[in-house]
Amino acid sequence: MSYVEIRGLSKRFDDTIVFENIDLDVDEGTICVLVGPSGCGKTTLLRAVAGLTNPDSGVIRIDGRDVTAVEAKHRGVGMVFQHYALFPNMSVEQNLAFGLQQKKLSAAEIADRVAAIIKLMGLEQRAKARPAALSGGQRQRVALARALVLEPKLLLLDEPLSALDAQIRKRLRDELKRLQQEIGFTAIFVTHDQEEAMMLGDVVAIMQSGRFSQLGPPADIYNKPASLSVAEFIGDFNIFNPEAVSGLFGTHTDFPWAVRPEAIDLLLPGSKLPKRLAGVRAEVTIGSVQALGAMVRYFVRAGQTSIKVDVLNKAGQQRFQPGQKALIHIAKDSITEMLK
Amino acid sequence: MRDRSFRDWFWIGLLVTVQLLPILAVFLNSVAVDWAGTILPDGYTSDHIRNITSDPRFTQSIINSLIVATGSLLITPLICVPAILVAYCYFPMLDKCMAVLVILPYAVPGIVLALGLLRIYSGNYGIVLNGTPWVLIFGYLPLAAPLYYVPIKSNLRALRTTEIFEAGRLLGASDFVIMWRIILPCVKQGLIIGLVMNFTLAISDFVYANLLVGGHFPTLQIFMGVLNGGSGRKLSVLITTYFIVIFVATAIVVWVTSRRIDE
Repeated sequence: MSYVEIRGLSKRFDDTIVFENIDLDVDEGTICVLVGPSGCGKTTLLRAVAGLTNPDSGVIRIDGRDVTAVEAKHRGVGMVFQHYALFPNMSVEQNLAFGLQQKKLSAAEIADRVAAIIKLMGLEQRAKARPAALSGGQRQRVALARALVLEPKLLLLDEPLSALDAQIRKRLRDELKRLQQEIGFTAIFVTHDQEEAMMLGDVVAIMQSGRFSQLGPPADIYNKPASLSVAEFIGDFNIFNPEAVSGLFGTHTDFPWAVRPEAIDLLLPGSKLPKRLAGVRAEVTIGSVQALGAMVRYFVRAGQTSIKVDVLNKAGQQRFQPGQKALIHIAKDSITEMLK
Repeated sequence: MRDRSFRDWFWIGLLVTVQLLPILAVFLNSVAVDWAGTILPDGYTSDHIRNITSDPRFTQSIINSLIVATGSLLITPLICVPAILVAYCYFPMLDKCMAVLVILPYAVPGIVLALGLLRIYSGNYGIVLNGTPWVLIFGYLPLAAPLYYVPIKSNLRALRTTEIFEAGRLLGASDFVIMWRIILPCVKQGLIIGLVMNFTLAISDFVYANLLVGGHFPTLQIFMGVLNGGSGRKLSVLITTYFIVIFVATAIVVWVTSRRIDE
């Protein structure tokens, strides 16, 4: 039995189906990331698990206990909100102590636990500050600390990093992963950022139009999207329809191919590849070149088809120039046939 | 922040002067021996102050005004503030109606409202308050409602109340605890403004006091009305006293409220 079990969960708002017949299992000490476009129902699902929204049908079990009809405050879940939801009239310490006070713990125990979480989160210098005096990153750390200090059975995070700028977001993401490995909490994390999902999730659930389109380890979702819509959402796949496959590579297929840009080799015309690298190849013309930091992205053309190719940006490596002829090679293992 | 220039101070000084000048003029008039055709009085005396403070009607009017104002301050926020918070946090539709409802007493002519209040409190509905300070205390309630509603609502708009309630509930708090420990302190500024305005309304009103209680319960403003047309010097003493009472009471309200809520 999984630590968190969701079975047949459905929710409608009037005539609109928010999510339908959702099944989800989350193992203890893992992070499950719900990722999907805006309006796909992921936040409502999270709120249903928290007890802030009542599902129309289905069951939610946490640690073997059916909590579907249990009040939010008795479910033993902690939640981190997108806009922090810190109490503006209280200092960092007071925000952290609030939940412990509601549990009627002794003043000494509250002080100990607050001090410990402040140290763990590196908030010692800001303990007396009010939320208004904190940066976005610090506020989110306080919000996370406020949820963690209660030692919840399940931590729910509703797009906690989306209001932060890119740099802080990356740092907090790493910090969150470190904390999770250190404390071992179980979490459901909602985001619309694919990179965040891949980096944080032990399991990633792609949610589209109120259903899970694919659920599994991030590597599987990244490399083997289950459908065209997942491939398009996960992003940056080159989709070759059967006509393009036939025209470019001279191979017959009944289904479109999805190929990641970094899985395509870009070679000088006439280059020879070892025979063990079975795959397909086509002649292309370099369109434009973009430096993306660690990668260089080439937009190449082959007939009417535009293809994205990512190449590692190594120092001293000569780049292809726009208009130059080149060869692309796609290894067989890198091709995903889109059956649906 | 850039340093304040002379021009900045000039405008601030001008505003303060324009506001203080009439008060200063009234005070000078209250201690003037004679003042006509000159910038400053011809001489100064404390006779007018002694005369009026020895009049028992003066002390009684101040006491009466303070009773009404304090009563209004004790009762009005107890009814208005929870209603505003509950409507905003739980019933957004009701809150929209409330925005219209609170300004109604100002859309109705004073005489109409006073007659309505007299009908309500003269026993037609089993409540007899006419001629007592209670009729003023409850009469000022609808007039004071917008004085709380506008500033508190403005504070509430800056809060994400739904998220705060959800976060509080998940941390194990009841809605009452969330309201008392988080929402109320966050609308402190609006509440202080409401209390000060409520006090000022209750102590400076003449129209409703005259129509509802008149000579039965003479307040400072009614006493001023009695003196009006008599000695201008005595009236000036009264007005100066009125300013002092308002100033001291406002300072006390601000001090007490900010201390209580911070605790």
